[in-house]
Amino acid sequence: MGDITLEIDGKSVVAKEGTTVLEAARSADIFIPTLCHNEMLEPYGGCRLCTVEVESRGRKKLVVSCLYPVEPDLVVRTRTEMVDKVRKLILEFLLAHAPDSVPMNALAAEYGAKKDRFAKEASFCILCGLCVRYCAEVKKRNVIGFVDQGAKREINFIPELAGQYCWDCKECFPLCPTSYLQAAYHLTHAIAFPSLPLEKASIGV
Amino acid sequence: MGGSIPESLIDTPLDFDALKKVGAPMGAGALMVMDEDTDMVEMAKFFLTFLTNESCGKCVPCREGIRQLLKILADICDGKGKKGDIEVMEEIAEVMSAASLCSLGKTATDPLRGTLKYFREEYEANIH
Ligand code: SF4
Ligand code: FES
Repeated sequence: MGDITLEIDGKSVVAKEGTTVLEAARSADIFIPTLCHNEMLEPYGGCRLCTVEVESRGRKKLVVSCLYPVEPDLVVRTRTEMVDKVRKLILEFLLAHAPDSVPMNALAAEYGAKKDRFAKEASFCILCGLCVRYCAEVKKRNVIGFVDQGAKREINFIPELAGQYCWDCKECFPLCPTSYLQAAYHLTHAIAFPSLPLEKASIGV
Repeated sequence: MGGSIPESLIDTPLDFDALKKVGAPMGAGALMVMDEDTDMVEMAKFFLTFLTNESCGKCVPCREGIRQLLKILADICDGKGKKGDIEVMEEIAEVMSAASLCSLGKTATDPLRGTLKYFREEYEANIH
């Protein structure tokens, strides 16, 4: 695979063919915020926080950098007025779910996002899918999945599988950008296995 | 998802370019005729309610954008609209069109934009 030269924020960057704009930017120490991306997992394109402007043959468009492949002479701008506007609103939408998320609050400061712009939502989960995809792609167990669609979409542990596998794993917990995942697991555990004492079901936090 | 135009534009030719120009893209090709008794804010809410059920919920702009738009529209329909509501809806619509993953999210706000363009006074009447 050949090398491709592109331009990111005015800087000439060389990247391997088949890699993404996000990977190329990171290799050149150019920061692009992400919420649903993790190097261990297939790119997902759900949070849209990594949106950037690309220009190719004179045409500009917004794309998500975690999915968009590098191409020769592509011009990438990671901070335009529109890009910042998109990121600010996405953060405000998600902070309504997880106002205490540490990574999101750090980004909110950068993009001027107000965490109380939208009223608090009942669910803490921002549906980044990191836990779902980690369990499916890395552990190949599919204990957690998405259920329902649209605004009703949520994550769910399958109690029978959770009882079998999660106790000795819990590797998805630290991936979660909110504090929701552990709580959801405890709840599943408590409902599915009411006879187990809580201390035993706890993970020591 | 289509858009709406007022009576004054009724002679617009029924083709893609002409409709796009007046801000009412063809959508699925259906044509609805409404009279002056139709509440256009309710109309916009109706379309977005339909679309939130159609949305897969994977990407944030579409899932959360429609969620917040519906809350604002519900308030306006109840006569509880607040100053600034229209501007927030326009900002959400712009970001949804620019950053959603698929065409559903990118065009979900077409009906809203159309009514805001031609029937804005119906929104303003319920904002205090
Ligand atoms: S529980 Fe956490 S990791 Fe899992 S989808 Fe929700 S926010 Fe993402
Ligand atoms: S990191 Fe690219 S869409 Fe979430």
